[in-house]
Amino acid sequence: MRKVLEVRNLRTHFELVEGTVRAVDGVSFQLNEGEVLGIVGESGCGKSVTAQSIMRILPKSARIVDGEILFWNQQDVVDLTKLDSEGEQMRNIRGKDIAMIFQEPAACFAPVYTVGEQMIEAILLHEDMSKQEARRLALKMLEKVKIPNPESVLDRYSFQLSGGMLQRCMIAMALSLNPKVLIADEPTTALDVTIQAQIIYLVNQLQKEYSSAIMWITHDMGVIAQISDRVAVMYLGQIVETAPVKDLFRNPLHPYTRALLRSIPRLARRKKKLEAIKGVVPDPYNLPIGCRYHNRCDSFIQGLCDEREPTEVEVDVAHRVKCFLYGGR
Amino acid sequence: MATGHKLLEVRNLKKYFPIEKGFFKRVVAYVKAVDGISFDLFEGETLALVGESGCGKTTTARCILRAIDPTEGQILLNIDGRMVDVAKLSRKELKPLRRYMQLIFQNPYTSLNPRLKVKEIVGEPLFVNKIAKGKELEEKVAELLEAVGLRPEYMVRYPHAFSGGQRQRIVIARALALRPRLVICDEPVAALDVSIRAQILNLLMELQEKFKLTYIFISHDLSVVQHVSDRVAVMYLGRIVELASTEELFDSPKHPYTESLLLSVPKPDPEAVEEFRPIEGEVPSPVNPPSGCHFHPRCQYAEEVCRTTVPEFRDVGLLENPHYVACHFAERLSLKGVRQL
Ligand SMILES: Nc1ncnc2c1ncn2[C@@H]1O[C@H](COP(=O)(O)OP(=O)(O)OP(=O)(O)O)[C@@H](O)[C@H]1O
Ligand SMILES: Nc1ncnc2c1ncn2[C@@H]1O[C@H](COP(=O)(O)OP(=O)(O)OP(=O)(O)O)[C@@H](O)[C@H]1O
Ligand code: SF4
Ligand SMILES: [Mg+2]
Ligand SMILES: [Mg+2]
Repeated sequence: MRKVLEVRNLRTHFELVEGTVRAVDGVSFQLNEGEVLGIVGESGCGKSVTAQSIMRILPKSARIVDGEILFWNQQDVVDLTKLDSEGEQMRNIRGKDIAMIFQEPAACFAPVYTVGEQMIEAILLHEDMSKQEARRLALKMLEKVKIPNPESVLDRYSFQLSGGMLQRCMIAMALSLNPKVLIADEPTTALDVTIQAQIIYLVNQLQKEYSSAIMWITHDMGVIAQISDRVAVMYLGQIVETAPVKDLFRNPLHPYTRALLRSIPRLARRKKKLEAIKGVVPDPYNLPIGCRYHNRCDSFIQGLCDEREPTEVEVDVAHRVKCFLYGGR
Repeated sequence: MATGHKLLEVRNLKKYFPIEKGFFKRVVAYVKAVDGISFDLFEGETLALVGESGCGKTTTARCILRAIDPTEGQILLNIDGRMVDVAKLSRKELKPLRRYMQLIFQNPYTSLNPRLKVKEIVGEPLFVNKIAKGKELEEKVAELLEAVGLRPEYMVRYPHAFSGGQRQRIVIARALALRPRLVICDEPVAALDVSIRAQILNLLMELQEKFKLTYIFISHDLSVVQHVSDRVAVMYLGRIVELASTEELFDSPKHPYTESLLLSVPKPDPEAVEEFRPIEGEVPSPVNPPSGCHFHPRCQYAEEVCRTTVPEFRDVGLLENPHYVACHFAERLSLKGVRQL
């Protein structure tokens, strides 16, 4: 499997009046051609900021303070952190080679232009073709994402379409230039389950045809299980465990991953007490010293976990974990 | 579990919202948010109301609480053995009944007044109803806070000093202040983080035992529903299409929509990745719902009769385990539940 993207020790911080938020703090992972990497974690753990760092669309108050984001483009390797976020090279990569879909399609479609106009414009920005050809491509993409009456949808405005339809349009637009990497930031979170199932089914089908590598962000372990080949679990700005999806569910190692999986309600255990994770996610301005999970962890080792930060260890093939229980000293 | 007494009897409940146009506010159509639903609620049980966005769950809850006036139908509440029709009462007659029913809603970030201290928020219903004041009020608030797992010292703080899960605990404490019999939980954990959800669900189950509460539990998260509820009612476009005990509904659904809904839930198990074909299409508008069975345009089992005739909501279960369903073919379809996957 060929690497298309490698993030090494990425640190993205926010400088705010209240203090520094270390939103992404030493994140490393790679993404291979044709695979789906699921990124899972609770609200505020840094999933979106990781995605925004790769796309170089961070808010003004954020800064990439350390690390590399290597992108394999044909023969070249570029470090995206070194590019000017508004420069030509990054603009060429963004949208064409690395495309993104969001939870809120409104972030993608402006209400004053039709869906078709925006798709055509996005295509023409990167592809040397006529307007007619671009329109034909847009239409073909809408058919691919199974939109009924695609011709008429091209001439509609975003507010005239349902959430599920807009999500499909966004996927069509993102895939129209056959990107090497597709970043999906919770694209189904706001949708109803039957519509979410349709979108997941669609993406699984499309993936067979387009070999894009997909980075799929979600907080839903069900979605992760259904869509990913590999999974990275994030907690407070760091990846605490990475594993092939079956390993992660069969043999979760990090206490946080274990607790997360245990806390999901399941059929067989009806009306019994759920195994909740104690405490709350700590305040991002006051990160715990040592392992960031130690104050909620049920295997915490006094004098170690609350003093030093564990390093990542490879426990099994492609199964890595950041926890003292497995070494990491 | 249910003790057998009926606490609530809802019969043919309807709520139509008028759509008005123009300067004279002419009514041009109606949103049929709730379109003739009937169900019973037994003391001590948890009845879940599930279904996709816009199917009428919250509207049903608001009618029962009389936060809005129903268009038609009966809402019979058992008050010490007497069935009182809440739908017909005047505002004034309703007032003393309000304490029987309380609501816990979705968003703990907007449901608390930021300018009031926890003491005032939780104690307000007690104060307003002249149940306690002064020192006694404080003691009662402290008890309530302890019951929901918060330190009594927190009563002097303002809501902004609490996390989402803690705020939801405050909301729950307030709802319990008047010792209600019926608590309607409208998506009580939807806005919370995964790791906090389990804490709040545990708390709700614990309080049910302790205070002998009856819950209507609204949610579109089916894994939560199957965990906490005794019976489940599935809604589609303003109607209940199926109602049965939780085991029965998840194991052997009898309505095609329930089957699709169950199949659509992504299972947290990568070994169970199946290439099922999700149902197509989207939920139609409640302004102009399909004829006959509302589900027919999306149903793979539909036949001509589904387009022409509304299926009767009837019991196809056993005497001791009723199973209500509104599908013409309920008796003969063999549908997939989640155990069989
Ligand atoms: N524009 C911003 N200004 C200040 N802090 C921010 C900003 N965006 C994100 N953060 C902070 O960075 C951290 C990581 O946020 P991020 O949005 O990446 O979380 P997430 O994992 O995507 O969460 P969610 O599941 O809620 O989308 C959080 O502590 C958040 O408060
Ligand atoms: N005050 C109102 N005026 C007009 N239409 C309304 C009003 N309240 C609700 N509706 C409509 O009634 C229908 C049912 O809404 P309701 O809020 O009961 O759905 P729900 O099942 O609670 O959905 P959700 O899961 O999104 O909360 C929807 O089509 C909604 O748009
Ligand atoms: S009545 Fe017909 S359309 Fe409705 S669910 Fe049953 S088979 Fe499907
Ligand atoms: Mg996010
Ligand atoms: Mg609702």
